[in-house]
Amino acid sequence: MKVRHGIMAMYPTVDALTSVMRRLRAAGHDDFEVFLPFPNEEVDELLPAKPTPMGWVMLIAGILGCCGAYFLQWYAARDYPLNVGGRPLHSWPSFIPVTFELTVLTSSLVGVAGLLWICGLPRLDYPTFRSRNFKRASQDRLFLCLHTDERLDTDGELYRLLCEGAESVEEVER
Amino acid sequence: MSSSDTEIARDTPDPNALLGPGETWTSVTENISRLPLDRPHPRFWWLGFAAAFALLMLLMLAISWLFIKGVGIWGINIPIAWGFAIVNFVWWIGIGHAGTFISAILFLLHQKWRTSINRFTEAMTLFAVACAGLFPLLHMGRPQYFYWLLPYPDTMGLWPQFRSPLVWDVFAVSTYATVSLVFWYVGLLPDLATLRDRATSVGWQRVYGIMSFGWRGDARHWRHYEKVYLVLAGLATPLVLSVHSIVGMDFAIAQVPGWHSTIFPPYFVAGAIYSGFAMVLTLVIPLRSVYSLKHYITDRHLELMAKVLMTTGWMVAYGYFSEFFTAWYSGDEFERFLSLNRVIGPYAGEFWALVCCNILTPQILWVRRCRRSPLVLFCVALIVNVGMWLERFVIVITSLHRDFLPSSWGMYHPTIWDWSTYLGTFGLFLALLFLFIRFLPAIAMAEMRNMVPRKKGDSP
Amino acid sequence: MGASFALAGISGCNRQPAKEIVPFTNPPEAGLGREGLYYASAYSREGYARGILVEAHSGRPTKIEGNPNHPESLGATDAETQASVLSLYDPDRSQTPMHGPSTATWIDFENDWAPRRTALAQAHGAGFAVLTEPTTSPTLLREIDALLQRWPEARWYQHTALARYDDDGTQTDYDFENADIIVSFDADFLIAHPAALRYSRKFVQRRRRENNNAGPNRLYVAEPTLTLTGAIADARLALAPTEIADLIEQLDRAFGLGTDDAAPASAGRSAPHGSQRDAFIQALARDLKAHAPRVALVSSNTLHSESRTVLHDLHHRLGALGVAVKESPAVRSDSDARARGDLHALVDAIEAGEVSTLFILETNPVYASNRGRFAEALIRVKHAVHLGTRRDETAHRCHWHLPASHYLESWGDLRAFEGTASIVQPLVEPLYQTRNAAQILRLVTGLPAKSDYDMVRETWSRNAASSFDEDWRDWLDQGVVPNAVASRIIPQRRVASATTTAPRASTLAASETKTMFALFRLDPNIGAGEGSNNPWLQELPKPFTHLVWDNAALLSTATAQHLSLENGDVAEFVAADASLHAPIWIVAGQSDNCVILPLGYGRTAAGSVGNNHGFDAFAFAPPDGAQQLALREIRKTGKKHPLVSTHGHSEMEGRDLARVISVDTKATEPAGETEMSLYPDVHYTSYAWGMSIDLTSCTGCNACVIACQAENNIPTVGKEQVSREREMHWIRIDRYISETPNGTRVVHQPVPCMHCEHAPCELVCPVAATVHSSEGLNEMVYNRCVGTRYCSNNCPYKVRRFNFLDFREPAGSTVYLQKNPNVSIRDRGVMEKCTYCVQRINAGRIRAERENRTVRDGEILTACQQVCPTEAIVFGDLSDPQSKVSRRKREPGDYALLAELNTRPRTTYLPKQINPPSALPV
Repeated sequence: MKVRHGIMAMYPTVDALTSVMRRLRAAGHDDFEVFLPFPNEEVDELLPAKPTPMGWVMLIAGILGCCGAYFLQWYAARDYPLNVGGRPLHSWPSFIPVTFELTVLTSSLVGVAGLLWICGLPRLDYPTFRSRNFKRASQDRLFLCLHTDERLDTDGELYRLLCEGAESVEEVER
Repeated sequence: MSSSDTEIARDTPDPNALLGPGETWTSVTENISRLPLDRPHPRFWWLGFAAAFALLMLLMLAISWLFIKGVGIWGINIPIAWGFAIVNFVWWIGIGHAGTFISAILFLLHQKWRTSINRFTEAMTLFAVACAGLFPLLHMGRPQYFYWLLPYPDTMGLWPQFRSPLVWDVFAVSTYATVSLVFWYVGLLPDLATLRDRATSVGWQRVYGIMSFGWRGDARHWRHYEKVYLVLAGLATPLVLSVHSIVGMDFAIAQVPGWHSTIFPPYFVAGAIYSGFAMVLTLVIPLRSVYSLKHYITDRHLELMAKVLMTTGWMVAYGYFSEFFTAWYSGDEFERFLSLNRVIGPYAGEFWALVCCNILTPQILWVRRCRRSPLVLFCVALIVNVGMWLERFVIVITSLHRDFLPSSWGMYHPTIWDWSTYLGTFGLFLALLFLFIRFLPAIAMAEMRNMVPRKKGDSP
Repeated sequence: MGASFALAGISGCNRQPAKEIVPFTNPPEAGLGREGLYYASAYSREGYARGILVEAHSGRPTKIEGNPNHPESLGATDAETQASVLSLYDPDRSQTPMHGPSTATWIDFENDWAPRRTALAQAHGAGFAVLTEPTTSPTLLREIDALLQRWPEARWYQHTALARYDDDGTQTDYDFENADIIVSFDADFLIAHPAALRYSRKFVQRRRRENNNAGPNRLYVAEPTLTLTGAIADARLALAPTEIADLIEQLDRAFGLGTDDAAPASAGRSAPHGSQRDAFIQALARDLKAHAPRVALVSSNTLHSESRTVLHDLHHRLGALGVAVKESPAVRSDSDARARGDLHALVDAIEAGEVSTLFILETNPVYASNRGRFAEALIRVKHAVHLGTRRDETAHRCHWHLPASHYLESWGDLRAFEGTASIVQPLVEPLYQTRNAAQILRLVTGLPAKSDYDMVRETWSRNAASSFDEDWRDWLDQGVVPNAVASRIIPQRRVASATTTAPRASTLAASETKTMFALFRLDPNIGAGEGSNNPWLQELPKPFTHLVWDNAALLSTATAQHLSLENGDVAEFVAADASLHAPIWIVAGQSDNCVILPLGYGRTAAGSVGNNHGFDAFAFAPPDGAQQLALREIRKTGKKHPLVSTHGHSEMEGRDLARVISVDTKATEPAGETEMSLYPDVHYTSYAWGMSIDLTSCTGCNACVIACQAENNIPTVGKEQVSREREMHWIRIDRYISETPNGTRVVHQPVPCMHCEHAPCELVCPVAATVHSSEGLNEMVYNRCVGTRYCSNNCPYKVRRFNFLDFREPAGSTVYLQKNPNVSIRDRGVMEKCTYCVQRINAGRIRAERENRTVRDGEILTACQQVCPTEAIVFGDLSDPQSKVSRRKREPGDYALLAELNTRPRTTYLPKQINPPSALPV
């Protein structure tokens, strides 16, 4: 038998979605996903999820890049010592620009790689895509998908809760 | 999409609005995604692209001949060993500064008006940097060995010479190109998802689907996404400042009179943003009219950019002034001679032309009506573009052509190949731009949706 | 393909001559260890010997140095001699006899000649004539004599373009060591004289601070246009020839009747620059009186005979003869009694129908003679044969052209101006089927053919000692034949030769002082066209104008302004019976009454390099052979000709670049002070190479430029590339010209790489392609260079050169045989510059290490230093306080160019010392 991914509802406004989210969480339902066509702070606050570590990831990457870059230049000057225009081997002022550039480079590359990794992207197939309406998740509608094994009971209390302000509610197969 | 469920914005049109009246998530999405999705392509697109492609072929021709004969086909000589190649490099890289400036710095400063132009200007940045990046490679005597500037110990155990500003350039420009690309693509992800979902043909759905990495707008993803975007903006801000500072150091580190000046880094950055905004205006004004995007790129936007143009224009003017002042104040005979030579020497014409273009012309923007008139702005922007190119010409050529020993003074005569290489890069730039407009959303839809005023009855 | 073809012709090039040639036993040590060998030989400059040492690599002559044993060389050479090695490998040399337009063999020629010979023999040579250049070669003269003995009716004529020094059978020689006061009347004795190298050395030795025991000499020069001799003068007047004649008369009066002041004489004469001129004469007269007999009045062939007689008498009156001036019988055969005169005599003979058969040996009269009858006359000669290294203008008009040997591939002998004889020793077998003049002369009369080697030996083995074979080896080894001076007696005819050109000029002169005169002068680089096909000489910037690949009519600033002409404007010069179109160039220090027309250009059959450059002034020169021509007018045509000059600007713009001091003002500032630096000093533990260039000594002769080109395989790039400022010379001579009360002042400043210790070029190279060596050399690593050219931008001295295009000769060209195997040939897109001849330094170090000692001072000579006639350039180890260069740098006044940039150059300069007449202000 097919197993359900969850029950997904489509909302026209942020307020409709957020009110449903509040009540779901009040009712102790934390196992749901939300899909938006744009980032939104209110939704973010109501989200049952950990804060993002990306800031730290990029900071650490930057520090590593910085040290690495400076070491690279310092080492290059010693690996093949040359008298260049009578300048000392360790001409630190000349090493600053490259150090800075590599700091930025590593940090941003690691940042983006990290983002994809933490979001589990690229992933081209996802159960929610099976829903016709879901196309609008990237355009002008907001979606909430509740993971639950309860059979979809049209006059159940949970169903009514989801229907509040929703334009449609449907099951999503896994 | 039926109009029943659209959200109605305040109906009173506001001259300072950053978004036209009556816009909704839906309308924003439809209007912007129409550009890449509509088939067949409009006629003017074909004409424009054809012209750009022709120029691109000219570039290919010039480059082929260059590789066959060597850099001797250009006008460069001893003493003027750097010519158009470096002038164009600095000019293009300067233009490439507006994009990141707008999307990163204005983002950090919460300048909402950046939203409707940042995507386009970021693209412009990328393409300008691509053109700029060509020149350092082409101008080398032995381009086949460009990789000797990369940090690896070659068979002789040799490394690049990290004291040379040219090595700094390699890192600065490549970093700038990479970060700009990443920044731009990250911004594109949600919009690619939109295109995927709006594309009618399976083929395009697949293409956009793959390009969007399967983005589904998950709120958790948005959380990571926003953090990364914010930090990237934070990184790009000093980066954009550093890149043209380093380009400025290419000259400031040398001891050639007219180059050896501490004002160069800041003054180059100002110049870069100046020329960058000029180029943005030059491109955005026709774009918004042919694609009727006046709702998203409003007169208000133009006015704000005009103000940035004036500000940076004055910074550049200050740069010129302080150059002459320090030359006089230092009492250095070579610097003094150079200043004089700029003003009355063989290249005085170029110098005065640049003064007219960069300092005098923008002053008409003091008048509000001019700031809001697309036509006036367009002309001013064009003139400033020319002026900024002349500025780089004056800096590179006049400084070199009469330096310390009068016995070695010379003149610079650009050849047809100098010109065709320069014009050719316009081909590359415009061709890429046309393709971008055709296949990718020129305005960031996800961000525009956030600009849509909230529906009546929503809690503030 | 083309390669193999070009080289096939000279497959023999690496074979040494079968006859044993003798290497130089104590060569300049710079040569050893580089598998190079030196051979002593002699180069013929206008027929006079210049002793040389030829460096050979695996049998190929590659470089020419001066022979220290030779009295007219003293170890130095000049640009022309340096460049002569390239002519050996000139791809345009004729390689086989030519019968009319078609190639032939020597057999063909001999078969063709045999019947004619028998006919002539019966007539005792009547109708036969041979034309040569005046020569000093005993062997050639012996063969000519043999010919005239055998065929008493045969005639011998001599032709040379312009230059003559001894047409009355005596020659005047000067000893500048004993001359306190030297006056040159339009005599460019530091360059255009067979003894120029010796003169330069002796003249400069008296001026240099380091040996001023005798006190510096003083040079007065009166000349129509700036010459290198005039450039070094302490007092100089720019005068037209006629004015010079007047000047000499005045001088004569000043000493003639014991009247002490020359002032009245000059009253009213020549309104222009009157005062300056009077001051000049007064100072000169005073100096001559004060310093007699230690004075020398140097006259030249451009003066007319009266003037020269006057100067001769003045020498007598001042007692200079035997002190600083020496008169002796001529060395060159100009006035040889056996000769029937010059080209004019020959033409007369031809027109009188007295010449039916003519042999023209190694001269090119069709081109290199004044406009006039010779070319037409030649047509009337039934049978004309030309011997020459190239199929030149004359060859084209002769029935036969025979290929002549280059002096580096055939035996011969020559005498120097002061009489010393040398054996011309070849280094290679003839590259092509060539012969020399002496061989042809034997062939003419049918004497049994002899090898060039045997002929020369025969000449010298007559009345020689029993030890001849040892002596011979000695002579070849040393390059000079000791005390052979005595045995030079050319039968003289004591009549002043009919060819004295000047009287004609003077007759014009006295009356019309105001007329504009065109003066015909040999080109400073290519002479009368001898160097036309030599790219080194063509691309060598000419003194003062720095023009390359072209000649131009030289005008004074005033004249040009008056005619509103600018550099490169083509003007028409109209004389009574001819006119000439020529581009003009404005020069400083030229008399307003004359135009200089350099000869040697406008060649049509010089070869692929030399053809169609410049205009042919010979075609305008008067038929009577005079060296000047009165001009009716000069017309502006409105046309322009692209003249190319390598020198941006000749003023110093008030910058402290080339310093000039007067001898009595003692330079005060301590030598060799350096500004402080932010960087820790680099300590050089081994040798510290450095160079000192003495501006007092430099005469601007350009020898160093060509020497550097020959030593370092520097390419020539052609007129078009030079016009785009892409010349490649590693050392250049900057000239700064200013006007002073003592006349036009010129400072020559040779500028090689300064080898800065804080080199700006190194700092900016992204790939470390130019870095410092442990011995303080600024090294250029060609195969690391990627060609960003940033180093050149950042070089304040602009001494770096870039291969903008592929400047190498086409693959397989014979000129590759000249290349120095110790110097790599640079690729396209690579930067290059002076290396202080690092290949010589390494050779020296290696040799020293092999012998387990340190390098001796003076053991390593850079090419520019070795060639310099005046020892202006000194190179050596700065870490040795006793080395010559260290001592030079300790001299007061030693300064670094652009020292304020704190680049700490290893090359420094000594200021130019001048010794102006006390009467005149500095």
